[in-house]
Amino acid sequence: MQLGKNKLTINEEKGYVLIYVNPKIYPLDVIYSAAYVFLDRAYILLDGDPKKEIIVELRLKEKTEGKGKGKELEKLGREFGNELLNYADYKQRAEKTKEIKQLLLQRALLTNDSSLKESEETVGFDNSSEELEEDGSYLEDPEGIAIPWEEKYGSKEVKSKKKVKKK
Amino acid sequence: MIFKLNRKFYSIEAVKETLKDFREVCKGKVLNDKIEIELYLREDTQQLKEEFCNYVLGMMKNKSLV
Repeated sequence: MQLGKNKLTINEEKGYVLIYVNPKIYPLDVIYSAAYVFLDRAYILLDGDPKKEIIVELRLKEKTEGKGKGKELEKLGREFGNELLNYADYKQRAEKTKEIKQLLLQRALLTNDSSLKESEETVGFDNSSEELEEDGSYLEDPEGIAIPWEEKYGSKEVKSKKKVKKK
Repeated sequence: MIFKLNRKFYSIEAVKETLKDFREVCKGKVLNDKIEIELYLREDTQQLKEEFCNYVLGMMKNKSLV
């Protein structure tokens, strides 16, 4: 039995399905990826010419007898085709987003690179905020401006309560 | 039992590694550059050839991941 313009050949007697793959549509790495998915369900054998036509032989691991066998083999072959399409799409998307992935990875690595932090210090980046924190002078209030809003403009009750508390 | 694996799809290194791992079940050798493999069964094992081929593919996958 031959299906899909001779791209799928089922041999019920011997219990295998042959899939003829065009390497211009599905490159070899896509075929490998699809084959790996089927390793636990079927016995896989690759043959043919990687430049012209690749032949994938799939044999069911679980033996099915009678009429069901042909259907099972067809299903297996069709699923393999789907998996090919899935990985071809994945590969295409991976190639499209390759640059942005590299950029993100570089950014992530640079952010956490301790050697770069050290070099920033030696180059003389502005460290004034760190110096201020170490100095502690920002806590002093010689002009008396660090008064909470409630104390300065709040109601008399609040002020009186605070005075009581202070006493 | 002698069978062939297409060299364009299977790597000799993976086949040799598989032969090492299968040494308890069978003995074998790579006969030539076309990866013609001869397996001597130690016991009657069904589907040995097919299992062997799947194992080689699995080895190739693992190597590509490393």
